[in-house]
Amino acid sequence: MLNTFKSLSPLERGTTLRSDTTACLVRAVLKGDLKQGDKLVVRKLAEHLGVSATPVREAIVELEAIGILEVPPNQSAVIRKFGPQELFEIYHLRGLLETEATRLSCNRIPQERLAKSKGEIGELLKESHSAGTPQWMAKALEQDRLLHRIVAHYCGLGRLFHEIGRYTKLMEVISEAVGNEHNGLLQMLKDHQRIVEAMLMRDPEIASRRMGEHIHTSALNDIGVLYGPAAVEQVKNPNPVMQAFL
Amino acid sequence: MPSVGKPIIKMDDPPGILLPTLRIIRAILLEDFSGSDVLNCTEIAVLLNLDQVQARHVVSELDAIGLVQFVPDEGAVLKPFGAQDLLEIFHIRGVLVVEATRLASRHIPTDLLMGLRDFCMELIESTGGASQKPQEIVDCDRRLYELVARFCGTHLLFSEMARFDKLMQVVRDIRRERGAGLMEGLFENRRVLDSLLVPDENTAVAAMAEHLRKIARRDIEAVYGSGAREVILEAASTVAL
Repeated sequence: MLNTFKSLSPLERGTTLRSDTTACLVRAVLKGDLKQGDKLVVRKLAEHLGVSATPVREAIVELEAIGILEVPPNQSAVIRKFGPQELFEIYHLRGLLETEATRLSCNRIPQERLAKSKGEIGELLKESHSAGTPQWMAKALEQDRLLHRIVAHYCGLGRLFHEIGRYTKLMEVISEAVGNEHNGLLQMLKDHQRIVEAMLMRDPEIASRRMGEHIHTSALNDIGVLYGPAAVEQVKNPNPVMQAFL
Repeated sequence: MPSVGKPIIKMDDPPGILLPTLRIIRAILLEDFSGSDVLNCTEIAVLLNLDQVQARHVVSELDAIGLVQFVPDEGAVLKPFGAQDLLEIFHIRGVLVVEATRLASRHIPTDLLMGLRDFCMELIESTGGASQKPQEIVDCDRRLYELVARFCGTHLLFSEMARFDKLMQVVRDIRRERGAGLMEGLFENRRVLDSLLVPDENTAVAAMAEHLRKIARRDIEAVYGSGAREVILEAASTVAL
């Protein structure tokens, strides 16, 4: 059964096996290689990926916590339904954690760090005529990661930092599946600019609200790219989770 | 789509897991383990009279709450845990519960809300109150969280809250045993229930947030004693406790 999962190729040694195994399974779910009802037998999966059973078990715990699979008592893990709504719920959760981290970190991030970010984002936006070139996209992606990392780092709560980290890897896999198209990156930079400006004004509530709006925009963009415009409409109406974002 | 109006059902624990997990969490909270103790599955199995599969499940539960980390060649190692950690967990869980309250408001069936409010009122009005019915009082609190979690309409939020259930159960047990702020908690529960019954989303959210802030302070003190007050005061400026 596992041979049919094209995206489950053996993992390279020396990497962080737990998070790589998690990423590998998420990738397979997003590509549709793992579908609702598919069973994951730890031993077989470990053999297939060329790792021991421990990182596979850890990845299963991680994915169970974020609702990608479930583990019925004394049975193998089973992939749960995963579509636009489930993806939206992941963004919603990430939004909750990161808006809180933004609120907490707003007055803690050094002004010079924020000013530097503002300058770098401004430069990238000025060079938007090169949007789509690999260099520009690489820089834009790095900016994206950097701001979220700074916010998590300065929130002052180790456990919140850790919780955000659980979703970061997942977000990287999703963004890899979305394919980082340049319109999405331009929008992201504009959103980040607004967040940084609010932080420079030391206004935690506005910064936090802007972070929420940014994550909401990203959610709709990524759902549109992965599942098509109809899926965006589907998650929009009538959806209390959506209202939570607005 | 979120299953608005349809309750989310929680999957049962594997047989024989609940009590051993609670025992270990309790030992961690009451500092019977040290920060560098290795939680070897074989040793856990012997200590708690479990089979290997059950012992592994216990470790997974601890991992999901963030109580252990996996170290190569050592296995699961307990992370140091103290008042600050419990406070941070309360804070994260608070963010989730407040959001669940907002989402569940207007979707919890009135008969369930009324039933819980009646239960809450009976406890408030019963002679002797907290000293007579501590178990019922902490049950009322638990049932309130369960209601908002079940009717929040998002499976992920539900399961993220459920990750902390066992830790919260142990904290509630300690609260019950030490009689910490039981009646105050009951009045706070009633305020949340009254707002949900109106239904008034904003007031319910505010009442729940207020309850969570107060209960965090009381529970941290119940577990760690008055020495934890400094941690709470220091955190108050940051995390609105």
